[in-house]
Amino acid sequence: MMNLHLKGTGASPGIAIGPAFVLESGKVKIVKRRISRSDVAQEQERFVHAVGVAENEIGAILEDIPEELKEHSGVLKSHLLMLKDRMVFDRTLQTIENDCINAEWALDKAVKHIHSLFAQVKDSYIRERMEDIEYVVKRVQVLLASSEEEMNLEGMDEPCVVVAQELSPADTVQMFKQNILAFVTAAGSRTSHTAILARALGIPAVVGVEHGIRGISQDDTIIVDGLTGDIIMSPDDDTIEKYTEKQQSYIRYRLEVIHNSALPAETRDGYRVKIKANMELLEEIPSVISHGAEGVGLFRTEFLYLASRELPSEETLYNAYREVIERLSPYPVTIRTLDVGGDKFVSSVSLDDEINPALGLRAIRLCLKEKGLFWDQLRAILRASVHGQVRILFPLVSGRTEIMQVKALLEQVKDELREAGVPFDESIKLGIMIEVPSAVMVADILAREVDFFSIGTNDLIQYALAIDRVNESVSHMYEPLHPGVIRMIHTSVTAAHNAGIEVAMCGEMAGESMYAPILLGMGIDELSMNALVIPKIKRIIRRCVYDDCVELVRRILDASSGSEIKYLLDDFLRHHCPEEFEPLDERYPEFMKTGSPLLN
Amino acid sequence: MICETEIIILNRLGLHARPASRFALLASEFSSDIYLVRGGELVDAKSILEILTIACPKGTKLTLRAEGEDAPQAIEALKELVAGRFGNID
Repeated sequence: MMNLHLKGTGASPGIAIGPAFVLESGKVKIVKRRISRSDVAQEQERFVHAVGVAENEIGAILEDIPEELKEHSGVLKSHLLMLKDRMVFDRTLQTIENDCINAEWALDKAVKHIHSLFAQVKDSYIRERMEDIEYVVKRVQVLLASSEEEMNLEGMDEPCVVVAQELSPADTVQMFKQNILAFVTAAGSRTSHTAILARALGIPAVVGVEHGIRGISQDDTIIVDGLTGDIIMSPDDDTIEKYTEKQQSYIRYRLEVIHNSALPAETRDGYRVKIKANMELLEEIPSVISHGAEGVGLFRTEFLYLASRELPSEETLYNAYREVIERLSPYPVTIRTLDVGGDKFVSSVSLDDEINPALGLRAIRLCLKEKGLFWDQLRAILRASVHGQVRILFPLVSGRTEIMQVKALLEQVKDELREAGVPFDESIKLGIMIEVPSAVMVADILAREVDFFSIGTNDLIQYALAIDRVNESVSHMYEPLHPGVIRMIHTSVTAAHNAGIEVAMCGEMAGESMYAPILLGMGIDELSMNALVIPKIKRIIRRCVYDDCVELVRRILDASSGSEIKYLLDDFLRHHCPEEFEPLDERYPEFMKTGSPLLN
Repeated sequence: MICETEIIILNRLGLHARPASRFALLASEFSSDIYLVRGGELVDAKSILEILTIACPKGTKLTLRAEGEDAPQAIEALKELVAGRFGNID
């Protein structure tokens, strides 16, 4: 038998082999039919019934929403309201009667009308609510089109691969409890809802499938490779065997990695560096712990703002922070305050369109403008600080003035808590991200005002080299080893140490093993990275000798170009850790060669 | 009975999804017909979708109109909701 093959984006690593469970496909075919005047009442009744069923479904989902996903209940509640909205419900009933057409057609007309009104709204957050209306209406259309009244997750008793056009928040919440081998969605990216959830749960996922998922039939055996993004339909025995081996090999690799992860990150001559994890979702906590992180060096707080579509309350934030802090205790957690704007977007704060968002109102600038929003977050962090070890990290600081403004505001928040008798850690440590070139130039001044630095390489490189990484014409010039970048990192580390404060790095550079010797040699105190790569970084560090790294840095600082630095580094790696870099790890050749960003 | 009053949206994020849904829910508790008028545009205050389509940021001035038996009570209750920044939800 021939193997049929689809290609998508690997969004969560791992390999699954099992029967496909295809969820209703994206487009529901809307049958348009005229009806006689005498059938109007019956047609209206059919519509009312379908809406009632849809309402009950959402109600039932809301009732036993898993604790982990409570954040999503607000969205579902607004869905309920939309179902019965005059513009949907009354208007459809009216149109059935006035135009003598069937319910599907009338509902479709109502939606098109709402679409035309929403298209004129300037506020993109409100415009995006159209998506919610479409989810809700689609469900009603499906109910109208078929007699079945159960959400067709019924029959998902066997472990299976869920295949869908896209998964709405309601779908994802429901499936959370089912026995799922893998997710495949035609739409979506590595940062979509399904991808994030799959990674958190350790379930393989492929999203954004080229040419769609129409080729996948119900109950067909399919292979999903979350490392490469490959999907193979109706595989022959040889292919199944090959992938079963790859699956086993991947599991062995993960086990070995996890086994090694508990060892300390210490060079052969006894120099120790702290290795921490970057994290965002509460679901990532077990992975952070099992991969051997000594705390969280970067807790991104954007997710709570992006996930709920409404500004989270202080209580919601407090509960989330408290949970992370308590579960990580006794290890410390560095909480970064809201870092949005630019490429990300908080739906609940309406931002004006900016021509150049990377240089616009984002991160600490946005927080200092939207003081109410910042106030709530600072209160939540301070309140949570009594439950463990907490540090606060402020993003995108460009100079001393911003630090002073932030500190003044923080003092006001502290006063408010003191007056109310609410306990918090009085000696809480404050740090800033070093990611704006001006901050590097005045690092010695800034170091006097804070307790630690954390270097964010992604933005620092982008701003220092004036390179937009996603712009294909210049992305090849995005060079972490550019002498300008290397010297900026060195300057920041030196300024911090001269002032007697610690310096961490939490950008992508910290998690790429080849850079570890340079960072060690510069004397960085802490590296924070995606939990999955911690074991690999630890392995490299354990093969290095600190004095050799210092010597490497000395030579690199004199180099005149990125390629010269690359040459010096390659030479160093070949001599000191040949088995890590050359040749590729032969024990797990299959997936080590895929270059999957998920394995790193 | 027809009652009318001016309201100003005070909450920071304007009449976004959550405030709009509270507004529509409360309006639906009254038998009167209730409308929001913004610059000549009139929408049904019992419909979250219609309220969203007139996109009101903070500081927007609106006319709130109720027609029916419980019009005064409706105006009073809705006015209070707006003045109280929708129960202080952002």
